[in-house]
Amino acid sequence: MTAEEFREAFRKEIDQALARITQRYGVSDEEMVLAFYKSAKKYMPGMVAPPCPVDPKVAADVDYPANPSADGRAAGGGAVGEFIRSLNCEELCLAVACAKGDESAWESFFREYRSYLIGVARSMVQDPSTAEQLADSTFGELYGVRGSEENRVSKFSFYSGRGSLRGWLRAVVYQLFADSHRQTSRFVQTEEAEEMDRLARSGASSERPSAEMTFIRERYHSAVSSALRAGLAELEARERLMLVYYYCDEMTLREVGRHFKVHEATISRWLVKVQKKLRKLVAKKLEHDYRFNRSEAREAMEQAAEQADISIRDYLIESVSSDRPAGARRGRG
Amino acid sequence: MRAFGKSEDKAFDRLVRAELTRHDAAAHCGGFDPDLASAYLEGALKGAEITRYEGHLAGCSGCRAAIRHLASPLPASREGVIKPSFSGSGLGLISALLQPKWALLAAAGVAIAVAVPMLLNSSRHARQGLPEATQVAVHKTPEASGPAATSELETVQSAERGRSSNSRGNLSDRAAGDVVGSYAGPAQETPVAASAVVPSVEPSKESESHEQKKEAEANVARAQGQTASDAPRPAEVAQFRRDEGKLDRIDQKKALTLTGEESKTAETQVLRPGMTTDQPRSQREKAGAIRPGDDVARAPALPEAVAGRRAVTRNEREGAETAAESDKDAARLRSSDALSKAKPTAQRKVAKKTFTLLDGIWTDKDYRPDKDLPSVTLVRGSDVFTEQLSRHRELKIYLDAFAATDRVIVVYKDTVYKFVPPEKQDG
Repeated sequence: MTAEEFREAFRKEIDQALARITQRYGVSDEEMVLAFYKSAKKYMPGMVAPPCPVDPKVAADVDYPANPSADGRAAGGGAVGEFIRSLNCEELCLAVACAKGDESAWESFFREYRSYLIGVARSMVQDPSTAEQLADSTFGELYGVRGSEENRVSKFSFYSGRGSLRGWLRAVVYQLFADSHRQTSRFVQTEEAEEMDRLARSGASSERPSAEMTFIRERYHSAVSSALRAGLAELEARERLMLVYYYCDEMTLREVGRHFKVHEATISRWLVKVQKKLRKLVAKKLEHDYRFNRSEAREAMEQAAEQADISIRDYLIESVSSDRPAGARRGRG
Repeated sequence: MRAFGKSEDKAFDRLVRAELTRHDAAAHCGGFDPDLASAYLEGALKGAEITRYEGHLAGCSGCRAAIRHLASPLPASREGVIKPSFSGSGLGLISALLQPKWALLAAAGVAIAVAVPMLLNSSRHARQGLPEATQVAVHKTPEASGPAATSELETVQSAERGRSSNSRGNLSDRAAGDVVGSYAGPAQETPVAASAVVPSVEPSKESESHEQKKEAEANVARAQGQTASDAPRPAEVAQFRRDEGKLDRIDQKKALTLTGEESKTAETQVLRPGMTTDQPRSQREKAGAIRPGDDVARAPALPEAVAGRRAVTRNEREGAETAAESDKDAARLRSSDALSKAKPTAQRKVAKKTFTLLDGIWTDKDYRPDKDLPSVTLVRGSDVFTEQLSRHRELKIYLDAFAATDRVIVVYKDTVYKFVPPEKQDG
């Protein structure tokens, strides 16, 4: 679907959206339609893609059919119409005008958003001069200083109108802050699982386990790891995200609840449910693929957990407490 | 269904944590989309879009750190610089009244109301040659003895407390896997020193006091967040000085006499530090005072049986115990007695520990005050608190079972951990 086809197909919704804009800053109807089209293409590629066979993978990710029938197209058209109605047209128009370099639009932008932007920059960086630099570079990106005047690409052209301009600006400032921080800070190197296992083996115990025990432990460890990975992949995205927030980001139940806008008791219940579900998936995998019985599966998980504790602890001690690379051998007596 | 964190399946819990952590630290897509992130946070995405994005977040620590940062509200001090756009949002008069400029005007009014009595008072004392109290809180001029002045003074003092507590309370991001960096918190402007609001005026020469009055006015104005350009102009100050001379003199004797009690004279009491009266401490109060190192306040008298036993012990050990040690032992005994006698109001099992609510504190059953274990008091949310929890993850399991405002005592690895909620901040 081209922009013209898009305009024809959704003329009514587009006209209603254009009527909602109180100040145009010299942005033409065609330019606004193009902005709507780009937003729709980004968020609803299944409906707004060119009329060649749609990639089933892409179509599967969205709620819309790949090759809609007339009825399907009508339903999808309703969704696209709803999408256009949900856009923040006023702010999108301001963004389009600023991307063009319209002076009155930039004046309006400075008047309404400059102090907010500076406040956001200051909230991220304690040092006032660094905050000012961050704010200045944000303005530069928004204007598009990187290319030449002919090839100027304003950051505003990436604003789709889906969320508010204020929220988008805050995210842009964060992105620039994160990029500059990444360039200047050292990274904590991460290790492959094998390296962590090596650390565990080197420091775990002064006793030398028997070859049989070592074999059993390694077998259990690889089986459980594989089963756990498969189990995690079968969880829903939100369930996985909850686990990651709790275990990796070490957020409290209250913080996780706040993120999902539910009470912490609800999060607690959800996490218990997810953990049980994951446990069942792992046990099922161990029984079917590795022929473990129940007690063997339980023992395998305990053994693997023991090894995981040692390896994670040692890895963290290695990588945080010294400047040595995380893979350096420790000298333990 | 049990609450999360109380599961006995610790092995599986550790496995999940290890597996997720192992693959998470390096996961960073490098393609953070501000547009998508802001749409997600504002609830503008629908159905499958949310699922797809959350699936991405689960596998990308960089984007997750960004979302966590952006989901947190902007600090209040930064909201003052935000100029919201009122484009027909219908908020109207109420929101207009909530604008920072009105707050500034109110603050200016408070500053002038506080400065005027101070200046009057200092001019009066300058003429009389009397020393002026440096603490405004204990010095009340007759003109400023009304409730309005008191409340204004409290407003200034609470503003000072608010500023000093804000400077202690800088937030930091607690994300473990945040390789991008910490949320450094709001950039705090240097707070005006408390003494600037309470100037001490030396009553030697009128010209010096005049200069210091000007400085006091400027300091008060600064303390209320005004700039130099907003301070009273010289013409206004001059007018004020001229008007000052025209004010009626206050009869001091009359002022110190309460209405209806003209026959009595006002008496002043000099309070002893830490006392509500000027009377010397009674023996009971002295005995009951809490000294550093005591777990609880001492009771006035020891039970005879205890004192008798201790005396025997002391004799047997040939005077080894000092009076301080015996008091400490007594305090521990009393607290353990108190613990045993206190009626438990609730019990809670967390992992393998049982906690009992005693006197408003969730107390680990393994806690024995008479045991000489090292004790650590941790304020929730403090840096030390965060550090200790990162070292001892099992403590987190216990803490998660209680609210952030609960006081909790946990015995863990032969150490008593006392968790207290953060202090409430005024202002």
